[in-house]
Amino acid sequence: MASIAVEEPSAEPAYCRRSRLQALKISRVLSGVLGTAWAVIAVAPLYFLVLGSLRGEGAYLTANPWWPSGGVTLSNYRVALSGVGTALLNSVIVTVSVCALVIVLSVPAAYAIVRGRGRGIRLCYVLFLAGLAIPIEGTIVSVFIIVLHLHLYNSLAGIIVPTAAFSMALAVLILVAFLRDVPSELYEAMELDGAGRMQLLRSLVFPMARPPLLGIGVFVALSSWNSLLLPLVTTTSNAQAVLPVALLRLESSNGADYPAILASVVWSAIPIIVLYLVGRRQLIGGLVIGSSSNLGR
Amino acid sequence: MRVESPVVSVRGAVRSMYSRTDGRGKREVGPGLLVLPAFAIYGVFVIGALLAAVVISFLNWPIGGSVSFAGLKNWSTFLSGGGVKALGVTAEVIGISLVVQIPLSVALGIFAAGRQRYRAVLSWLYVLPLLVSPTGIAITWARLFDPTFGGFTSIIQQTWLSSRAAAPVIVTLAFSWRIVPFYVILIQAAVRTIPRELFDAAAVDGASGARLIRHILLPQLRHTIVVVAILAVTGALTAFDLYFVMTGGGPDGATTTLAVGVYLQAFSNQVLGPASVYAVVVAAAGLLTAGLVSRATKFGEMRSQRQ
Repeated sequence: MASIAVEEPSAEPAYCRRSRLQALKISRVLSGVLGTAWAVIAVAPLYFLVLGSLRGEGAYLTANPWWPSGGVTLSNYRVALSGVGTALLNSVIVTVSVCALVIVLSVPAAYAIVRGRGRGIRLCYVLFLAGLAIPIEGTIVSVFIIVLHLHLYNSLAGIIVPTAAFSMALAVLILVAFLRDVPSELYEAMELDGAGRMQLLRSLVFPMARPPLLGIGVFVALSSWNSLLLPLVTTTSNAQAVLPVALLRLESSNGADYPAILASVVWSAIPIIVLYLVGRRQLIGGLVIGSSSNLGR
Repeated sequence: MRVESPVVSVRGAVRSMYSRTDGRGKREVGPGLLVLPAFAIYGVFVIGALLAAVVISFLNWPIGGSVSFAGLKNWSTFLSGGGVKALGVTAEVIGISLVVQIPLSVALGIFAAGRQRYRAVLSWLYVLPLLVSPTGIAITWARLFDPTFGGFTSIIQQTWLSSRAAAPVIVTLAFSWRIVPFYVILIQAAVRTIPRELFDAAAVDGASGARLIRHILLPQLRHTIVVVAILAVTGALTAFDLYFVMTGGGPDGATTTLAVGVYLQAFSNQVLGPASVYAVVVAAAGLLTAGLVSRATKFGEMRSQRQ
């Protein structure tokens, strides 16, 4: 990647005038102020969240919400875990299953689109392309009815399968773009060696597609971890609630224990925060991949 | 509901086209067939669901009740009642999103692209709001703006989330607060791919600070800014989580975006027909935006080739 420091011209020309230097200095100070101000704005609500989650209920209701006084306790985190423990587990199951389903199905599909010929394949490809622009909010009513009719209502499968379906188009199209650049001789050589389709997929296509699959996996995991609308619509019982649904139910219950709710929010973010700490580059790569989903290409 | 049927017929067509026999006369699976497992669930839950939404928007379908044909009734109710209001709220959300998110993202993205150590630290902090789910963010901001125990109660007495004028603005600010870090990442990455020579040349010509940004940086970032604008529009168009969790679509429908409208119609009012009208409008707007974008970018490519 070509690197460039915007505010730092490599060599200041010797003849530059004092006034220009001053203007540069002022713009640097201004941008420093703006940048720092935004950091404060970005962190403040999170500070409020964490501080609130560490307080006793009495202190939360009476003490200054921005000043750490009135004692600190971790007991909210224990209470919260007993409330959203099942949801945490459900979210892990759903996220892992959605990723697995998308990866296992999208790789063969992309291979089929790259290697297959004919009208049927082209139709599938065009429909995958069109699907990038279909938002889940626009189909949620019919997804609810379909889930009901397939007897998937109130089951984790009722969350997993539709979520995977909505990630499929993006995964397939990214993989198609990637596999198109692979010389077809590679496939043909393996076919000549008598490799079956499954063997070819297992020992050539899957290993080759690992780099895009990493980004796809991160993106799919993030969006299924965060998704609220679909699980809200396809499950009603607390036994199948995933984290966003469980958080919403806590928030809207009467006589809510606010510090415990805030602690639950922190619990729900911990896996993502860990991912950010150990794999910042992968996390951001996954986010950026997802942005192509809304661009219709 | 027979939404599976188009998929089944596609499957038949594909099978006849792609099965073939190898030299030893054994039937072999053609590569094209491997698209089917993925396409089956995609075809049912995305394409099929979209077609079904169009059909249901012309039906009377109370949850648990009997289904009958409604003609244009759901659509005329949408146009004369809450639908237009939801369109207005959505337009307001799109407007605030564009005005708030784009200048902020561009300025902060340029800032974060600098190589100074303190900028690296600050841009590390910028990403933090993205790590909490929208539902978690909504809960945090709802507590922040709680009129009795909130984060601002000790400073100012406010009941902004129950004010019809302020609530959509506050929720959209929360929404922007969470999503701007993502656009900052996109702009930052784009700035870092601009060749250094461009800046050096401009600096030799005597350009400084603001002029450098206006004449070198912004033109180079044009494509990325358009991408961010499209993402901001589609994000606002489908906005649900924050608007539903923070204010439940209220007060008095002031934060009922189209997507919140879909949910409230279907699961509070329990009428699937009117809910599907909202859903079809959301989907159509999404497809329309994508269509315009792809036409615009094709047009842009043609123009840049001619130059």
